[in-house]
Amino acid sequence: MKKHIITYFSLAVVLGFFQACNLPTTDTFERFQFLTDNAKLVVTVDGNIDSDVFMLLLHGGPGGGVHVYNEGTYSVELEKEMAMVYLDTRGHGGSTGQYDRESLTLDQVGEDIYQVARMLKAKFGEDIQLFLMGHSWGGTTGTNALINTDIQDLLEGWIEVSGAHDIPLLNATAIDMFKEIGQEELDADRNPDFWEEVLEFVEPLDRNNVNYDDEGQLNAYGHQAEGRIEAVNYAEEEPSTLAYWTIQNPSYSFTSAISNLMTGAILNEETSTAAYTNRLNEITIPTLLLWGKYDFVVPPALGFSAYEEISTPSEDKYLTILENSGHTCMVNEPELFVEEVLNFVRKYAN
Amino acid sequence: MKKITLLLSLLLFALWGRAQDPILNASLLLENGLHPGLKVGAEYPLAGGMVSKRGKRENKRLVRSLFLGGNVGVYNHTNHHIGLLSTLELGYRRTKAHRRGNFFAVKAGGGYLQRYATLTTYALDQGGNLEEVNGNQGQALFTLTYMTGQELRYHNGSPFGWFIAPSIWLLTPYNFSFAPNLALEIGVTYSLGQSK
Repeated sequence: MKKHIITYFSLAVVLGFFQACNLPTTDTFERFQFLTDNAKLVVTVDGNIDSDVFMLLLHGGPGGGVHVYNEGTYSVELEKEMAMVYLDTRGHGGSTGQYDRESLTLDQVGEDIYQVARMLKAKFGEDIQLFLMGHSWGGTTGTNALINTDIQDLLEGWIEVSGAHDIPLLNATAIDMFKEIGQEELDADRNPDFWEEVLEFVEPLDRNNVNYDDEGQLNAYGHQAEGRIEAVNYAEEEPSTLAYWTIQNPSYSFTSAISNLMTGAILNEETSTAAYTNRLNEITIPTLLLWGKYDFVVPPALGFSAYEEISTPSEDKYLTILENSGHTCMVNEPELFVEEVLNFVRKYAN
Repeated sequence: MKKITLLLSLLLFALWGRAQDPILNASLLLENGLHPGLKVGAEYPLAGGMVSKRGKRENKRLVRSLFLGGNVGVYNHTNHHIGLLSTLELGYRRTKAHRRGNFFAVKAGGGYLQRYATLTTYALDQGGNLEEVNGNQGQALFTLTYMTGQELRYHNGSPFGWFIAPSIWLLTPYNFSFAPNLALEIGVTYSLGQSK
């Protein structure tokens, strides 16, 4: 009996491993590498390629990856209507290559994004309708590409979702937000221990001069805070599982996880001073700004600021604050998120 | 790097004729603990021998061995690449001959890993046209391995044995520097030496 158990268990383990990395995908799923400036970027195209509408999605981080974005209600719904392009940027996820540390910069990542946009046009046709979407740090890299390259000439529109395009402004407004909402929560006697701790931390901070360590702590409190706000919706469907992150993961592994951390450590340093607000007026294409009302990680104030600063005509720029969302509104309110994105895409895809 | 590995492999084969009690091994290789593959190799004892000790409850027979090992392997990281590797390792093995041949070993070494991209790799040429390019990459590979298992020749005279071996790899170049890797081997051994 013991022998049989061991045999069946071994068989199951081996079969499981051979199933590794095979994700449920759409019929038009395609994954390939794109070699640019000595980096081999892993690009996954999933969804309705026949629509000729492509959405290039930029992941958060730094030190993250795009794999986690290719899951959940919102991505399934968007993939029905357009081809979603999931890009692991330089040094992230399954992307590999061989390059100097000096070339691991925000400007280089921005240049990579531009080259990916060119590649998509070359591969799928010059007449495809290409949109760019950046979430969180994807708002940093996306904005970098928009203001430092000619990518706007290739795009029908830009969607910034809780985008961190100005870290000093982010820090200052996060402090304001913690103080305001923290006090409201305290007054309502909701999670008093947590909010007292947060307020005690932010009270002495100089909102115009937040150091690197305090910035990290603000970020950590930001993620914790939205979980303590009753209004923030957490959909019952939370597809992230350990198996999805490990065994079924198409490009990630222990190796890339550590590489992500190493890349993140370098890019975090540069990102901590990235401030593009003064150059947002260089953005002229149709723009949709989506923010969660309770996003303490990248406060909605950045969305309001971007709306004012970009040069896109007022009839072609939109700002939507999702009332029951935190930093990941696509997970908090997937139906509303999809509706906003589809309305925008339908309007600007020719 | 390829040439060095080749030369070291030839050296290993040259040692074959001089080796006493070489041990062959074959294993299921799990690169990064996930991606399946196969690995085969051989160990050639360089020095060592059996030591007998009188214990309180039993007489101990310990076989100690310093060995040189050579391996080749292949694994498949689905949707990413196929890896072909060859390594040379120096190791120390301690076998409890009085305890059914249970053993542990530690070994460290280096070699070469060739990653053959299974994803199509594209690039833009000077004119902005899409072209397919070679997405393969060679990397130096450094390994540190712990092995534990059983040599049955000390238990029932069988030349076979089994082992489990987790190991840490270091790959370079990988992006802007290096990257670690965790691998696991589960395999069998076959001793060409005499039963003892």
